[in-house]
Amino acid sequence: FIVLEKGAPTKTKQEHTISHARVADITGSINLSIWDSKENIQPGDIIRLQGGYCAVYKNCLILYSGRHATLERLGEFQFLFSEQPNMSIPTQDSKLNDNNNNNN
Amino acid sequence: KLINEKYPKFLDRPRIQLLQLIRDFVNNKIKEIDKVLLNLLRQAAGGDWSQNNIRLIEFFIQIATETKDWIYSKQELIPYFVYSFLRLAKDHYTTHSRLAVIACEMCKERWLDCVVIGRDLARLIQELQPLIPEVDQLWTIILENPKVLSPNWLGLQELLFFPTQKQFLSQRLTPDMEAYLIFMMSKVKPINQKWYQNWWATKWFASDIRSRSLVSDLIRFICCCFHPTNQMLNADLVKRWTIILWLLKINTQISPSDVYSLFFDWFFFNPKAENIMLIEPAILLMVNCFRDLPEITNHLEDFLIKQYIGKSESYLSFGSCESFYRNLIKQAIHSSLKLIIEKRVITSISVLCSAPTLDLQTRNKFKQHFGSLFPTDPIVHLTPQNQIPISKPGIQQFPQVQMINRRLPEQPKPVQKLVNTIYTVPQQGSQLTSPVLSPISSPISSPLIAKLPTIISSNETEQTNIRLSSEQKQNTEKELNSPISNLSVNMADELREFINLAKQGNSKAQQHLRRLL
Repeated sequence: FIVLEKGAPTKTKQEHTISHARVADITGSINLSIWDSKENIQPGDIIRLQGGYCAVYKNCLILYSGRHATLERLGEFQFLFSEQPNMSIPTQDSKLNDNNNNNN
Repeated sequence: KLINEKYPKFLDRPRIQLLQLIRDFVNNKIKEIDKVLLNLLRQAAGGDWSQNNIRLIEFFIQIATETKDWIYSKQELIPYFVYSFLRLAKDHYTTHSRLAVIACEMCKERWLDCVVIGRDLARLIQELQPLIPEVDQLWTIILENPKVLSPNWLGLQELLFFPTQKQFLSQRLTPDMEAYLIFMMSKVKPINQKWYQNWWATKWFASDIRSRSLVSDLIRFICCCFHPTNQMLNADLVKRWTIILWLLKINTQISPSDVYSLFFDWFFFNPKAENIMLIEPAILLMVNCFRDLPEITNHLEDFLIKQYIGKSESYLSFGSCESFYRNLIKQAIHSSLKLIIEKRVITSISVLCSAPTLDLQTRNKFKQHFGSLFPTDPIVHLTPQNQIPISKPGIQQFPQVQMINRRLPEQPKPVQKLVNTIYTVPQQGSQLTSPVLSPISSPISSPLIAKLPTIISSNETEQTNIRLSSEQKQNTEKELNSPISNLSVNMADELREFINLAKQGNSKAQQHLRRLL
């Protein structure tokens, strides 16, 4: 997928830095959160993520990098994508809410 | 190959080492080194002021001075060198004036080889002429004593009408720039266009404000090297003129050299020999921008008109042979506009002179100079069965044409209303004739005339010999005579009355029209 925009990095209580970005490919776009990334990703980069997972966080679907995930920069610019549908728009899905409550 | 793909990624130290290596190659005259040199020359980008680029330029200056004879022996290399040096000299003339000097020397010694480049050589020399004295010298030689350079060469005219080869235009863009640009134009859809433009800008335009000088090279490349097929044009892809629009707007003020490079092919266009794709983006840009971004259309129209007139504020200057080249330019602009209208790249050029969002002065000037091209309206083409000859008022009839055209924007409304009434009330002959004969430009009247025979049952076939005094009316007469054979006597009388009114004054004719409506 290709990186569309980059957000500001945030810090957690255990001093992990999470960097945010919005990424897209032909099927749609999604928010990406990477824990403890040392590399700086620029918008316009084409990336391959191996070992990631999706989860709902605050009613948004977000793509995370797992514990042993690798992020590879393949190139830039020459990648077709579509911004719609955006998977990370907050949804008021009752089923999801129930799931969250059950997990909690 | 190595250079093409990896060179931009090299760090400083390896680059320096690579350059030294190549210099040794050249000094030892190893085979195939010329291709390597050309690829490397391509990497020397215009508008790039980074240390790497400057080092590369200095490298090339050294090579050019040290191994001049070897370069001269390789004929194909010379035009590439000359073109690149002239272009780079435009950016760096303060610090590296050697570039221009070397290019001039090469030109003088091997002029015929340099001519292969085509028009853009003239463009570069003209742009450098006020800045560097050697170039000025060269330019005066070209204008006045062309035989000095080469006994066989006819003169600047020949150079200007020789379209630039694509290799030279792509020479001035680095390979990755070219790849990305082609990707943008051939694959991207307009929805996503903004993203790609932003990424491009961050990569190549962000570093320096002076890097905007690259824009003119990009525009030349888009106009000349990339001609999309009909399939691509019909598909939902980014159009060339939208990209050029973005490029023009990168500078806060539109730079005249960019507009010059956009219109450059217009000035020396040869409709028989050249592809319309060279001139198409400019006109599409003008016509599509007038609604939302009138200042751009204004600017472009203004520029075009100024070049046409050739006053002192125009961008080009041809020195002593001014009038000769000015005439050439006029003819070429005229023929390019004509071709555009013929091939129906845009539906109608009247937009450029009647749109209220555009500046009034430019509009009037446009009408004044290009008025003869207006009569080809789209409505005419709707009726194939009636082969009505479209008479275009000649260039001598400017004042009358002006009158006609000023009323163009007003007329279509009553005409359309009448089209509706025709279908409902076919018997009211008087209503039908009046719009037909208003002194509107003939094509607008001719569709109605064409429809008349089909709508009205052919009652009488009477030739109405309408005597019209002025020339413009003669033109309408030819058209009226053929289909009017179907009109009845009453209508003919109405016709005569109306034409008399029209002769007396346009305002009266208008009143008559309104009355009849």
